[in-house]
Amino acid sequence: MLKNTTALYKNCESSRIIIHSVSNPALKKLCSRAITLKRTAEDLEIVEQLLPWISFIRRLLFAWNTTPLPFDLSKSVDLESEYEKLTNLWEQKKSFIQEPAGSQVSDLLLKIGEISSSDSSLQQAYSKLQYDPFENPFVCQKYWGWGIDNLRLGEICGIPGIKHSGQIESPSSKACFFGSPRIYDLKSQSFIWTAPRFEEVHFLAYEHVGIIIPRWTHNSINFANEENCECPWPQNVESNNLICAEDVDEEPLDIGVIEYFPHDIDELVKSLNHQDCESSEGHEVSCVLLLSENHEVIPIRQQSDPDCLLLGSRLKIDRKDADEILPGDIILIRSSSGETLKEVEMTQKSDEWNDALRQHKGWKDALSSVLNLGLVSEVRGAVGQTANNIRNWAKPQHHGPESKQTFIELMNYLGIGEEIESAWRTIQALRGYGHSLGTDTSESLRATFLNLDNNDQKELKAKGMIVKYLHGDHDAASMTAIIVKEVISYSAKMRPSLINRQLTSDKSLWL
Amino acid sequence: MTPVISPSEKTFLEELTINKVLAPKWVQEVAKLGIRLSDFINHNPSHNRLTLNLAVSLPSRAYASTFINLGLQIGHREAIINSFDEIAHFNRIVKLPEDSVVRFYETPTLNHNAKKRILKGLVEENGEQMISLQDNKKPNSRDLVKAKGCYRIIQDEEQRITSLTKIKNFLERVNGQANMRDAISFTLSSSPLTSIIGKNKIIDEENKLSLGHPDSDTNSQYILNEITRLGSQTLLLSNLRDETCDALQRSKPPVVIYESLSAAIKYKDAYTPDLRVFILDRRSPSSTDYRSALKSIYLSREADPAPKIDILLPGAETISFYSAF
Repeated sequence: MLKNTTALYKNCESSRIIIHSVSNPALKKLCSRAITLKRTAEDLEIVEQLLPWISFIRRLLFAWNTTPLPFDLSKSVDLESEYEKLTNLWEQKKSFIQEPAGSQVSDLLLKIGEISSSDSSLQQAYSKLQYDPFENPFVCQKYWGWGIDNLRLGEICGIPGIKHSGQIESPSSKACFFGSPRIYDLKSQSFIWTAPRFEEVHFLAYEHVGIIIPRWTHNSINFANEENCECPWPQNVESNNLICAEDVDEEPLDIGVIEYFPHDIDELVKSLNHQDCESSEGHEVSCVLLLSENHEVIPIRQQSDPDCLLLGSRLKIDRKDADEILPGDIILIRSSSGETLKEVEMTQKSDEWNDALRQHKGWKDALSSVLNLGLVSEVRGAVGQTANNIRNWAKPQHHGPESKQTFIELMNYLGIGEEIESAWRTIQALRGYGHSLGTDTSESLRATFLNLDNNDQKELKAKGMIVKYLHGDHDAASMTAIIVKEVISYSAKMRPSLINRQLTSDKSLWL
Repeated sequence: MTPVISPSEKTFLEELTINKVLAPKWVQEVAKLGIRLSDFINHNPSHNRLTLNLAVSLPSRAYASTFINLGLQIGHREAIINSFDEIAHFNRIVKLPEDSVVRFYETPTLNHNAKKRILKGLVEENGEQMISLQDNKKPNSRDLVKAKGCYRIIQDEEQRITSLTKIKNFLERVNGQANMRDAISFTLSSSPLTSIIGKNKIIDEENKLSLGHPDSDTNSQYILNEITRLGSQTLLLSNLRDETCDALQRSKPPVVIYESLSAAIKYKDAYTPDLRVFILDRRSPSSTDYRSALKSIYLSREADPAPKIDILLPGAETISFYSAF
């Protein structure tokens, strides 16, 4: 351990950055065309109509540009079928699309097919790299889609040992990062190589996506002088090996339009849930996004230690830092809390509670009546909250507004202002009851997972998840064990209410 | 901040061995940072009642707080020695319930393991009050210990002391001179200087390194923990436990080191020390978030210019500022 740390500090004194830039005019041209298409669609205001195709092209280009490897459509069943599906759909729709956007989409789909199956310079680039014996060989920029994790990518490109950044054992002598160095400066990706943990950092990037080393600004804690803070260790590009160079006349492309694709989490969440996220602005929390085997996204709060289920000779529940979760881990999340109100009704029979619950139901019924009349916009105007929030308050499983001020405004709007204090006390009491109930329930459900029989374990492995209900009651609280297929991104910002939930990505438009 | 490292401290660090190998330069520099910080605690503990915040961004958090703390203990040694009050120690032992189990060092140099004894209260002999101890295996035997020398009795749960001679050697090296009384006072002083909030298990492990000097034989090697004394001079507080806030309020350590973003967020407002040290591990995926959190603390700093506290190490950055809380 001490030796490893000493090696890290030594690397700071003498680390080398070596760029291997690959020229690929065909792919560069494709990028240019995609950017032109997007601009044309924006000018014609037909982005919405072209969304499936624009989104697919951007997604594919992102993958290609950040992972400069041979990328053959036919080697990924998911990718190939999506390409075919979109091409067929385009054939049906293209006559309805305005020119010149229509011909640009046709051209792009055609070129994608061509470029995918042609011998590109990528293979040669890789073969040059193979001369260097990489001890800890490759770190892949992760991207979304088509179920291509590092293992699968390794199979497609024929390179074994592509690793997730979290799996790199530090320190090692050499590492190679796929894609533009700028990509690693986005969000929290910079930590991967700025630690530094390698004596030699190699970048294998397409020339057209830019090979400039990102500035130190985002990593520095020198807040007083952010504009020109320098990296606190020698950080020079020692060599720039141009591979398969061809004459390049133009400047590198601005890849900004495609590079932000997998990082725009708010857009993704918005599309996943069809919810208005604006109200959460400024209140988001940092989270680690996990992808389940069923393509569900699970945001886990970054500063939390979620329960992880360890299978094997002996079942065990471990608490693991959210940041340390790796593909293959099994996380436990509470998928349903049951109904506190129902529980209180069943267990608390005093007159005091009966009156309180009657009053609680009373304002919820009044709110439901107003909503049934289609007056949600009016309520929105009165309380300044989103329609979704207001609809949730009317449901028995939700206690009510978070803030007392909002509750006062709501009660005044409903014309039952005289009951505010006692009704608010009930909400608080239900919250307190729900909290302690939740703690007990979680304990019981965890115990259930420690007693999974062989069939349950097999089901979990086969389906990638298994749900267990409290006392086997399907209306009661439940907990789900989910096998993590991929850790999508670090440091995404998410609404607290979306944390620890399974968000299905089926409806995503992949903006 | 002007260099405050004495020649003997400098030599001590240059000659320090870890697991019998000369300590690498980064260890020396990190420990020197701790010594410089101790100067702040010793001479300027409360600048206008403000807290000095120091953020240190490093290639790894590994051993950072451990060696900063070693430096703090080295630089603060005089104050630690002076803070041991033998009479207070005597009174503390006397106040324990009769028949409590205590540990007793039979030799004044504390060179052998402490033996179990049963506290039998105070007795008076020749007008002098003494603590009476009973050996469980020899019920008729009694050890009588005067106030002067009562350091040989420690509570059962207190840190085991293996050898005072080693501590004396350590103090001799950093001081130029030391006597056994200094070693005893340094070892038994129990007013916490530093609190480290992070992963206890890892920090505990880091404090098990074997230290020595090129000319020291196996017998004179000592464990880092014997200097940093986890549990008494250094508190390890978990970032998962609620009682962390209570522990900070109760023991009031002048220095708190936060090893993670979650520790900084959770406990920064719970207690205001004289000096806060934030360790940023750039290997950690959450380092960007930690940086953002730090920036927001930095932006609400006080106008008083803080001393610049550099660390002369490639890959390391520091920033210091004052805050009101």
